[in-house]
Amino acid sequence: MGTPLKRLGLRYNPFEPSASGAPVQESSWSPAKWEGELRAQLDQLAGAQGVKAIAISGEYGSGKTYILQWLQRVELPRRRIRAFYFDNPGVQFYDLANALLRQIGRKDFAKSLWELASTHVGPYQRTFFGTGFEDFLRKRRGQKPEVVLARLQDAIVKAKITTREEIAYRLAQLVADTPTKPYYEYRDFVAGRRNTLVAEREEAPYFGAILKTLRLAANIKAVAFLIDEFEEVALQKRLTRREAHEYLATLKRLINLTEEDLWLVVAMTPDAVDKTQALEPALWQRFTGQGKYLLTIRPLTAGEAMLLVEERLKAARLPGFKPGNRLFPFPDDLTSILSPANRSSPRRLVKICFYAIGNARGKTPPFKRGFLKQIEGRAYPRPRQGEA
Amino acid sequence: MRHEPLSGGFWMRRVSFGGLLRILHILADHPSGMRATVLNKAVTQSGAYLTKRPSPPSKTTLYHCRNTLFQLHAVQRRDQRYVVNSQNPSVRALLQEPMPLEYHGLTPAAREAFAALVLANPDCKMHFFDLFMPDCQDYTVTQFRRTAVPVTWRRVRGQQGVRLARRKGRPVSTLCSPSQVRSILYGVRYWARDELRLIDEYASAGRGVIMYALCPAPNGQDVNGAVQDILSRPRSADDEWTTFAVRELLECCCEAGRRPRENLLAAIAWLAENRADYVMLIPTSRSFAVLTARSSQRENLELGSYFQDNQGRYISHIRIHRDLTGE
Repeated sequence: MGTPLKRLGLRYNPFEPSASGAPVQESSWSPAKWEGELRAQLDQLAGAQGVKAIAISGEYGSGKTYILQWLQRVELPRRRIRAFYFDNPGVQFYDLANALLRQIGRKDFAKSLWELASTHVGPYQRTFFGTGFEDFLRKRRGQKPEVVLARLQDAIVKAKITTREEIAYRLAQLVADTPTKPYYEYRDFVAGRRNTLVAEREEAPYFGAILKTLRLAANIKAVAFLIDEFEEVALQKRLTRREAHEYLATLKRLINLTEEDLWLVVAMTPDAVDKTQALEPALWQRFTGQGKYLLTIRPLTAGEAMLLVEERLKAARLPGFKPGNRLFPFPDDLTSILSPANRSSPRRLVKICFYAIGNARGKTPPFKRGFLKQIEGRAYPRPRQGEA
Repeated sequence: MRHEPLSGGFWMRRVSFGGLLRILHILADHPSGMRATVLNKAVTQSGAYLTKRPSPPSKTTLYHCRNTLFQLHAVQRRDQRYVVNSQNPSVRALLQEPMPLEYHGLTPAAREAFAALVLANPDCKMHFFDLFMPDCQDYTVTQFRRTAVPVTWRRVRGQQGVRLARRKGRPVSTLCSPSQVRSILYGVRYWARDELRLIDEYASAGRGVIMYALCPAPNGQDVNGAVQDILSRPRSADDEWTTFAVRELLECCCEAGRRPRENLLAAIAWLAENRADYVMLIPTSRSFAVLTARSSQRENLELGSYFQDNQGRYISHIRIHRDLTGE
């Protein structure tokens, strides 16, 4: 499949065959109504204390992941909020801690914690803490573990990361064991096990301490969790009765982290919204601020679909190339050629455009209706008689 | 005439009514009646009662068949012999129907005749059908189909029981013992839903399983009516597309319209196939759809509230373009 991109005035094919989230290149665009609505919600929530939550509801391929990535890359950093993106994090509360710390990396997190704590150690410990993290890791190998742990634990409490001894001990352990084990294992996040890194029955304050470390270390305003495909938490296994409710319990516990400035943005399908609302109405009301903080992604209008294609094409145009029409190499009535169902879904639209450009050899731009219909039919064939 | 023990009114078990009709035909061929052992032998030899297993029906199964026919007054006992109660007009109507073939369902007429027998039974009425008829003690099959109100059932959390309640009301009955659950939930409810098609049901998160009466007797699939029902739902005036939850359509098109669930699902399939440009199916994760199910039977029940498309996806919502009208 040769692609005569030059003839089309393009440096690369600006569409993806399997769009999921924002494209790598800087041609991101989303409808103004999404951005406007979300910005308004973020502004409203910014003044509130504790956990701030927003739910995003949309069908597969509607742009949920795109919005989360836009928040992570563009909007939240602008507000001095460090965002972490999670995809299907798991049912247990500590699955989130696991996913978060693995994303940061053990050494980086230990270093942040060490840097914060090391300024609070007494003068007699300066030789141990005063020469940098790497030096500490080297020296640590020769020290008795209980001595290092006690010093670190003390310093963590003094740095006001936590007031609880058990949590300070677990965090100290996380730092002190880094030289021998600079990575995480799943069992590190199973409460009650030997040498576990998490505090038993102290999930919320433990999590709060991690968030505080991240906030203080980077001097940011808040931390945000962007949770994608939350409904897939049940995919991993057949859940027991208790585990099925862990899904909702995890949401509840996150919301109860009132001590820290945590932002929570959860993307889910309409079915997950309906089901969560039906199973836990009180939680849902609290989560969405009685519906105020629920963003429902609507299908693209013809105008929005046109803008999406135009913005993608603009970013990929050859320098100095003068397109014959706005959507060149597509005709300007592209959105009326495609079926309303296909052009209203960003994923479908992007896929059809990808294949149209990919199969453009021998086709004179702007592409003809018949060619585009053929591509559309191949990408999204209609259900055949008797199949449905 | 001697009555067999009633087991406190909870004698109903899951039996095939096609098999019952075949047994009734065998008994009708013996006007002087048949003893239980002779009847069992005749049923086994003729293959009149089929089970899912390859082996012949057990003695217990055959007992429940006999007992069901006896409790419904389709047969009587005279001197240890079972004879057809031909004085009952519903039984006469049943015997005029052809013997159903293997695994074939009953004819609509046979179904209505059996339904009349079941609705006339005081145990079935008291423990199940009366819950659907709050203002009426005496009713026919037609009246039940036309006026019955929906009833929900759900497991009592942390216990073995099942609570039955009217759609918007307090529990009207609780099935406490395993025998009651077996008899009502897996006996009469199964007869009404699968054998007699008096009711249909769907699971709704947070509300339990909603049972509702079907009317009129479904002779065939009224897919066109269901399509019109979907397309006549109020749409958003501002938006190009309106999204409907399949569960919401079950409520307004099936429950309120006393229409079988399969009609609605067939209507969605028709729209997806014939109006693909203007209808989008919105799938959900299967594992999330069965989040609260604890058994494979329950999973099937919960998945019944979704439309499964030709790709095997479970569709929770559909969205319809404003240009697609019912005309």
